[in-house]
Amino acid sequence: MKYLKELSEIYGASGNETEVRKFIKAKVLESKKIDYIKEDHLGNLMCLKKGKNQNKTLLLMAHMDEVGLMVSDIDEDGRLCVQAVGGVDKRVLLGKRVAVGKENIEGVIPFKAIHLQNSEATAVPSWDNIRVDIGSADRKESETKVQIGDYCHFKTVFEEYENRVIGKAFDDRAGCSVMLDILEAMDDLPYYNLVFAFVVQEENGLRGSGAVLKHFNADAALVLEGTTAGDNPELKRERWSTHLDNGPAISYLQSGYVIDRRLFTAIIDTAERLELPHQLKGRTVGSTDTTRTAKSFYGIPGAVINVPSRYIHSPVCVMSKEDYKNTVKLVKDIVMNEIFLKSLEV
Amino acid sequence: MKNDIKEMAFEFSKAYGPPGREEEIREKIKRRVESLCDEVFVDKSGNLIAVKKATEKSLGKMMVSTHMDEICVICSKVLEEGFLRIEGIGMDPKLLPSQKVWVHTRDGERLRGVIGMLAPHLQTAETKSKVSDFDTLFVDVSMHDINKFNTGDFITYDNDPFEANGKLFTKTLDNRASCMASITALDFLSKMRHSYDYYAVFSSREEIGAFGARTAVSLIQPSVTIAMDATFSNIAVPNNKKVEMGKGPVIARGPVLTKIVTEKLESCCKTYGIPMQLEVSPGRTGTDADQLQLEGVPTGLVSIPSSYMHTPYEKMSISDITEAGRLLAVYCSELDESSFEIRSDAKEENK
Repeated sequence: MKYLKELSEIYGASGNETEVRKFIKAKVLESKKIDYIKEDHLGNLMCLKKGKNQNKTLLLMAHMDEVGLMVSDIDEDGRLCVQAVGGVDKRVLLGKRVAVGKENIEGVIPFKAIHLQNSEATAVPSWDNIRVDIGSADRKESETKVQIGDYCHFKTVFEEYENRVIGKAFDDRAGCSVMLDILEAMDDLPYYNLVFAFVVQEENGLRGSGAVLKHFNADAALVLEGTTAGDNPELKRERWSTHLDNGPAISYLQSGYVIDRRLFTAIIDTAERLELPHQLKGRTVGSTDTTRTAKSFYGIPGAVINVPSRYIHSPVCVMSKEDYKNTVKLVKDIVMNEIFLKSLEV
Repeated sequence: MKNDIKEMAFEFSKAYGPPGREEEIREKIKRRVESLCDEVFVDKSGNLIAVKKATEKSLGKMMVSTHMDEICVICSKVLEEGFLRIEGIGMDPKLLPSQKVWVHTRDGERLRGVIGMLAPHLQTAETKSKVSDFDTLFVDVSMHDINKFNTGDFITYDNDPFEANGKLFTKTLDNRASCMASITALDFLSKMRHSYDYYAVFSSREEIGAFGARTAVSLIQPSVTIAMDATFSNIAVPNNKKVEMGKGPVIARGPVLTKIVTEKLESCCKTYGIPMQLEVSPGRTGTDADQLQLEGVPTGLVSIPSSYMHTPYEKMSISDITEAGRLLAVYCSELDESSFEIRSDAKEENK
């Protein structure tokens, strides 16, 4: 997880992935292990590594974007009105630090002092009382620094502990990081052609990934995600999605797509052969780019491997380092062997 | 000025100090006031008392009380799976989800915790309609050995202060900003003549009832006390004149506050061109002043305009803090032997 810290701290909400892409592209080029790099109009970054066998192509995919906010208006008192980019729970915004606009200036999402609250005390905050304060005296002053349409990003320092990492945007910089780790450590050719696709705009409706298929004749997609854990004390065990430290989570069904049974089985077989801890994702809510790739162009089959993460879509997520390492091992083995794409030959 | 406001704000906001656990913040303040004062000591209640003696024969004591403790949450139960259940002192539970916190353990360690919030994907219509309360909030401490935690561990926000356009954004400006103002007053006084001893009391346990101030005033027996705290600014408080940030310290009028003190504070502002605002406190003030008055000494209240009180990022203007410090220094230097004479009606008649 050499790059997870930087990947987690970079700002890149949906539609604003430039800095993430720049960082990843630089690392990909440094690795000198890629045969061909392609960027498209949407901002997707696609890196082809030719395999031992060039008759098939596997698409490995992670999204670069994260959830965030967009400035929608500026109040008379200089504070900024915002709206969500992607699925943001308004309740996690209060009292949080944000980086605002192109210059990433300091801002904070304040809330009325508890002493002065009436109906707000027990109400879910609404966009009407969520503001970003950048310290300006009035609208005029704010307008010199921020424009409508500027992004606001959560600002969180990444931290590493013996068994855990803490940071923002593990959904899905964890997936991007797994891909970079695999690429860097690749001493041998992958079994088939392998495309590392870092895609844009997943959080605002799986909008980037479909276009990737235009450029490569892929046989299947394997999406790497940072997914919900939900093993919080207030949720009963049977309602958990995944559990930290139980290994990479493999999806079988998600909103809009039933995972291809052959690919799903190939992943499970690989995990068992490697004797890696793994778990099935216990909930089917939410979707990933597999849904899009399966519905686009030729409708290629796909599967999803997830690194479980607590509190995703919030400024502070918690992930297990063991789960991450085991995900890298599992995915690495899949791309170096024939089983995944071969499973489709029936 | 020896002590820079922004520098102090950043340093103090990082210092741990829930009610009754003020050791760390006390040490930081002590280091700053030692060179400015003639005597510095800690009393039985944990108050830090710094005395700057009068530059001539002392005519009395002026005590300024600024509380140094901060709001916090406390661990009420340790869950084996790596979580802590919590209860609050002064904290708004709505602002706790998705915060990084410090857990201060019994063994004196400061350990990371994360107050988690279930991802929106797993929320139901019912859970989405509710705001967090202390029945549902928890701290994720799964990054540490759970045996390090105990019921009764104090938990505080962890965040990074910043400054934008002369405004400070950080936790604990309530009431560390007043501590800074009192230190600034000491800075000013080091270049002024004053015939009253200045007692800077950095008081303990305000957030649970201002006990520190109460015992300090009994111990010191001052001629006059001034409490300092944060007050609400840039927000409509029903039936109150709006206090504005950046327009100077706020002097309170009300039954708890002695008229001669309030009037003198106001006239000092006029004489020295210190910007000021007025607020009323018809009942209790909700500050150290409520306790100070009970000792029977003349009491005043000077507040610093603040937004977002008791949240992770409180906001204040640097200039308001500096001006509040200047006001205290000027007030002290203006006191003379007749300042606190009791002018009863009978005495008036005798003239």
